[in-house]
Amino acid sequence: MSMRYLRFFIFPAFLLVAAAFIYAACDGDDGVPAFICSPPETGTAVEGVPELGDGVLQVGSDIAYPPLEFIIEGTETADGVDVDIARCLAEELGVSVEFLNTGFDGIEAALNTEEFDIVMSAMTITPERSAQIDFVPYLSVGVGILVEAGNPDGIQEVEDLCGLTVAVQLGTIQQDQLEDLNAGACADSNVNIVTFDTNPLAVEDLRTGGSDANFSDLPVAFLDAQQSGGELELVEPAPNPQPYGIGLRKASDALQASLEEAFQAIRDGGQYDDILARWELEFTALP
Amino acid sequence: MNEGLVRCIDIHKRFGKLEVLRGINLEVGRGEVVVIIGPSGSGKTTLLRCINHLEVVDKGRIYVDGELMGYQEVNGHLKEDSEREVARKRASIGMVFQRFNLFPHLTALGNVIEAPIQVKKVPRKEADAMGRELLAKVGLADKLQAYPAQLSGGQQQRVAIARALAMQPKLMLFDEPTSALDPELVGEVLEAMRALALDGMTMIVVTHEMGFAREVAERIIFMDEGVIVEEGLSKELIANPQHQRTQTFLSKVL
Amino acid sequence: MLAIRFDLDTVGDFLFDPIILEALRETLYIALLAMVLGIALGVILAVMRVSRNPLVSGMAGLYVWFWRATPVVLQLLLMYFGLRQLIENDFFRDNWTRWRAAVITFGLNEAAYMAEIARAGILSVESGQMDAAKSLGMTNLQAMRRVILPQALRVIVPPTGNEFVAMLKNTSVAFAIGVVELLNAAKIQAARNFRVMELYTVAAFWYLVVVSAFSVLQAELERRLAVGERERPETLLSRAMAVLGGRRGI
Repeated sequence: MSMRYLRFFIFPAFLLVAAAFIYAACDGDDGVPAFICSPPETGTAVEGVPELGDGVLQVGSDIAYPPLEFIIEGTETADGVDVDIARCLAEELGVSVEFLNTGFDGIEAALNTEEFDIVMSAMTITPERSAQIDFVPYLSVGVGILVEAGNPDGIQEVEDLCGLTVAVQLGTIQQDQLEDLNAGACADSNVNIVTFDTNPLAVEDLRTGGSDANFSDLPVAFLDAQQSGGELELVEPAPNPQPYGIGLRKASDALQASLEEAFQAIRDGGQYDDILARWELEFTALP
Repeated sequence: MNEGLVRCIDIHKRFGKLEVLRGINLEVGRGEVVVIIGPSGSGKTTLLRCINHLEVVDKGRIYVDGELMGYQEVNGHLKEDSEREVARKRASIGMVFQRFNLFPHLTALGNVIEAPIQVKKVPRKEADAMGRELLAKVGLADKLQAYPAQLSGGQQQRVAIARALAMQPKLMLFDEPTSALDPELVGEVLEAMRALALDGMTMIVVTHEMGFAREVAERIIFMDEGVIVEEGLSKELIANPQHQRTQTFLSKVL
Repeated sequence: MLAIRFDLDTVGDFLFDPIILEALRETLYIALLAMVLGIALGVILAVMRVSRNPLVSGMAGLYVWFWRATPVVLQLLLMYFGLRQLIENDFFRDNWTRWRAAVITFGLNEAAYMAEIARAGILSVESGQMDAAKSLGMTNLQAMRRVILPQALRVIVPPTGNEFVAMLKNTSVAFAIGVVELLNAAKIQAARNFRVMELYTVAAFWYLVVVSAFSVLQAELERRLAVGERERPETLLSRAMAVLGGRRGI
């Protein structure tokens, strides 16, 4: 094709690109999700709490972990258990809430360099993490193992993972648990741990046969099994639920006190139960 | 008279809208040395490049030693030559370029023996010996291992001549072989060409060197604007050009 | 004001840690294999691109267009997860491991860039060279192999060196399909002990070492290729060798 004719394509190409931009910008509004609480659009500063001096509660989260946190398909809006709870806490405190999507494996570091005020990202409280940041517990969650439908490797317990290839998300307690297994119960037959930046990618590896199992939190594995169209199934090991915590910097004492108060308020006021009911996760309520 | 080694019949060639060759008819006999002169843009170089099929003619035929360049006559019609056939036919025609076009990554000897080894599959030892001989013949026996960048223009052109000769061609084409040389280096190249002519090589030379034309060439052909304006025995044409345009051109060049 | 918590001991601990070194080896392995594939295929594509046959040059053009237009990460996901999802065959899945997928994807991707580099190199050789080769009876392919490509190499090597350095660093995106190389090995360790800066310093150190060593090699290669040129570039290595040679009276 001669270069001369290229000219005729420039204008239509430009129109096409412009149209794409306009289409993307116009948000198709399908209606607001069924959030339990409605924090104000503009919040008021909370006295004595420096992080909330701007009237905004900034939440760092790895927003790819349904049903705890995820982006609603086709939008830029976050939803999930953690999102609901954060919104209710914000409403209690009279501030607005903002979610910042952050990779899970660097999230403590990001918190400590003040990229946001708190972490709400299905983070299990562990001694190692508690050395870095403080926590306000809010949920009690066990682990779940996702396998191919039919459970071909006959996995019942976490120890059954010895010798298998297991996909996990980087920086999770599941990754830690598998490393501990390899030092202990699986010392002779190590688990081949394959790590990914996000859990959905880890599930993908299971789905395409690159791994034998995916190890994550129970609600997440449960949902993944449900949405797999019969391809994947959930194995629930013996219950040993651990608390999720809202992560805060060590120095955020005033914020911690306010959050603990606000959390108690939403438990007393029934919003907490409403949230768990919305997501059918009553069994994860903090004891 | 024998059928000419080279026969160009009604050659037409255009580049885009520009018609560069407008009906050239030329015959060169075996062992003959023919010089082509003319102003720039007259089509001289294009004609040379058509003869060894570096350019494809739009109309007309070129025969070299009885073989039609670029085509084969099969059952009365013309079949285009494959790349191999074209290469084979070219191998017996040597060409020397204005800008030498030596291979810079090879030594002088390397340049000379490259084609015999690659194209004619001559064994290395044999090619080596032949290469040394040829380079000695053009007076460069002491420069076998030199790279082109280390040689003067005149030396490079002599290597180029040896390189073309290494393929034992039936015909040698020279495209303004001395135009890019400093004046004091022209002589050594013309000397090599003269020796070649005396050896009986058929040569078609595009050049402005009228001294060479008069002394060495049998015929001179004057081209202008894509046609042959005049041709004749070299000494006669120089002394007595018939056409106005020839006279004008010669007056500028001589 | 945040207190500086950088712990040099951790850096020392992990600098020669077997996990890190193993991952470094993985990085080099993937980068080298992918480059070999990329260069070989790239040169072929370049020769195809300069062909006068529109079908041949068009096919090569299509290849380059596709592999240059899409991000490597996307290509990895498609080549690994995508293909594995489409092809449920056991034999395929057993053999199409994430490492092979990574090497091949990086190689195919690199070929597109190398094709452009090699093409520029080929075009940089003056047309008279091809004329001379052809007039001596060489076929196109013979001319390419013996005359054009050797000269094109001088122009091709420097940007190719750049491509290799870029490749070394790009291998880290293979983490999307679970391949652990230098950067991600550091990342994994950092996720366990929270010593983010220290571990990344270890990774940076090794990248610097490898790229520096490679640069020395590249300069030497360029010097050797400048055969027959009046000015051969002096490199650190050649200067060093000259000094050493001089001392011994060689």
